[in-house]
Amino acid sequence: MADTVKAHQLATPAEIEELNPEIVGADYDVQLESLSQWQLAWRRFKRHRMAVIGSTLFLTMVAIAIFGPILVPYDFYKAPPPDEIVYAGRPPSIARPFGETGGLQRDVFALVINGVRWSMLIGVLATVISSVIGTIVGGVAGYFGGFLDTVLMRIVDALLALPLLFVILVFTKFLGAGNWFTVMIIFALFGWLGIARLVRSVMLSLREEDYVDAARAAGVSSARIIFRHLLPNSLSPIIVAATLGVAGVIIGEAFVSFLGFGVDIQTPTLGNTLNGALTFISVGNWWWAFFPGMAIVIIVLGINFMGDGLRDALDPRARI
Amino acid sequence: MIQFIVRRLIGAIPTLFITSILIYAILLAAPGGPEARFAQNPRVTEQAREAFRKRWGLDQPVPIQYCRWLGVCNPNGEGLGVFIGDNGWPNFLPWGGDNGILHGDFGYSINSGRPVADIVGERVPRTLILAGTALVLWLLLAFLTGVIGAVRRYGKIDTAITVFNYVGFSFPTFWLGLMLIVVFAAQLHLLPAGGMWDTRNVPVFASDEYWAYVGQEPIAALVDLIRHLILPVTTLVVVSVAADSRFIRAAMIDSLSQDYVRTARAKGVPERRVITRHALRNALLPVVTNIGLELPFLFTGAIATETIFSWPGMGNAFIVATANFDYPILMGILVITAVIVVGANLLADIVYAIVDPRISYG
Repeated sequence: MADTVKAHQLATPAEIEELNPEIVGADYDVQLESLSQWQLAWRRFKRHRMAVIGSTLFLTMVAIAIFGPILVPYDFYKAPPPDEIVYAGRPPSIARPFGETGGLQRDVFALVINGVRWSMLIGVLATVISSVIGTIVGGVAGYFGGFLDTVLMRIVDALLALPLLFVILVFTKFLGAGNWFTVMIIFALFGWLGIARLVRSVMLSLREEDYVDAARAAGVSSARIIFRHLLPNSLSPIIVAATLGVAGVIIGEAFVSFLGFGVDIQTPTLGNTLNGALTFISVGNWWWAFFPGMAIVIIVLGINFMGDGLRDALDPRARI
Repeated sequence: MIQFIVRRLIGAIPTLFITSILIYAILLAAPGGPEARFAQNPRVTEQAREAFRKRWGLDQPVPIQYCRWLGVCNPNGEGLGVFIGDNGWPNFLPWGGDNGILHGDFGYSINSGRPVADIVGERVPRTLILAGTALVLWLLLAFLTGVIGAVRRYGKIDTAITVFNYVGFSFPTFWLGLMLIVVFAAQLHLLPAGGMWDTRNVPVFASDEYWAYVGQEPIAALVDLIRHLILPVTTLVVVSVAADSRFIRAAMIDSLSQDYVRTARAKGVPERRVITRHALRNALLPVVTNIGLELPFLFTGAIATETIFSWPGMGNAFIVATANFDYPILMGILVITAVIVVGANLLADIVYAIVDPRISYG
């Protein structure tokens, strides 16, 4: 069987024949294949070893978040009979691989599985919302420029001068009321600043491109230029920033809930699980704090690897 | 140059002004407030409440309250006279009035009644000790690992450093601290689990008794401080070294591929000298700016670590104030950190303009 040579948008068979008459009738076919931007990116991503490991980790955790709670349901109202309670809980065993909590004797494995679901849900939703806000604000500021740009960027600067974790703490404590949805919205409302700056700078450079001038000269409306020409071309940095943003929200939410300022303890996020563990560390119950934390580390590590792989893969200047 | 600095300084004023409005608005929207502590007290009559509101200006419209808090308005003034200080000068000038944050008056803590400036002043040195030690250590480590990683690019050592960086970067600070406490304090009993000094035999840090103790037993005092520093500093270094290490590595790789490095090698300059003198010196440029942007960390970055290790610094004060609805402290800390952040950004800009001869600051 003939070898297959893949060339990307190089030449037609006739052109190759013309350029190099010797390969006519050679023992291989020249297969021509043109790849889209996303196909090229996917190829680069697949070759990035860390990115593949990272996305495997991340997708595993996503699968756990979606299907885990169905397989290992967690019932807040199920309490063990009083005579079976061991104050410090039980260490990991074969039946209970992550051990049991102190106090109410809950299965740490079930807590972690359910915690992954809540933490992922909050992290992904908050990041999606903040990316949309950031893209709109940054896009408007960068595209229209002038006074609007100055005002919007002044507000972003002013917000960035505040330590955001402090502000989020104040908000979740005072306004969050323990509702996971409110806490998620608070993270979304403070997470868009970085993306807004990023999109603005990309827009500033893109709007000087010739194809934008051409579109404008052809009488294309601003909205169409933004959505058809500018946004698709600035999507790569947004995707990378949003991917890494999920990790930030998951850690932030865990910290806020760990302090007891975040989501109410009826919702088993990973941070809440860690909050409960705090009291029992002094009696030697390490497994309660260890496994939920490891779940956070694995999610975040997966996201960071994946984000870096995406950054390399989506860079149009990178060669495969 | 002077013109450039002055222009940047003036440009920072609107940012800080908007920030102050945001801080005021955020805490105005929050529940509770100065009167909240009387809400459940049947002995506080409506008249007493009225007098309290009048005494502290809570009966005024919100813009006036904000203006007084800022220090632009004089609480004793009437009509347009609010902008004039008691001595006839405009109130916002340093010598015009003495109220508001412009004059360093951050009010009093609702819980302890102490001036906020005193509380923050007492906390800042403690946070500086913790965050400063961590910053110095992780910068040293970041330079070491960053340069080695760049020189031995894609080698075994570089891969090991990269993996360590990624894992460290992925740890939630508070959880890593918790795990260190579990291992080194709860299980092995090697190091203290929290605090800044041993309360059994060392007096409160920076009190008169403390300095007397340091005078008597300087080594014991230092050992005690270091023992309390080890775990929180380790936590901060492991989590924070990655970003700088990666940054320095990238800057070094960039500068190692420049023509002047090839020229130096071609001239026969020893490799060690090529790396330190030719490549590293040029790679320092972006790194210095990056370090400038990290300086606010010295005041705020240790919030999670301080909480876990009950280090009595700024972050800890903020968490306690949040839990207690202590607004003046929250506002004071937010304002001070905002000024520090804007100042550090400015400093980074200016240093960059001085260090890099290619920047034109017209």
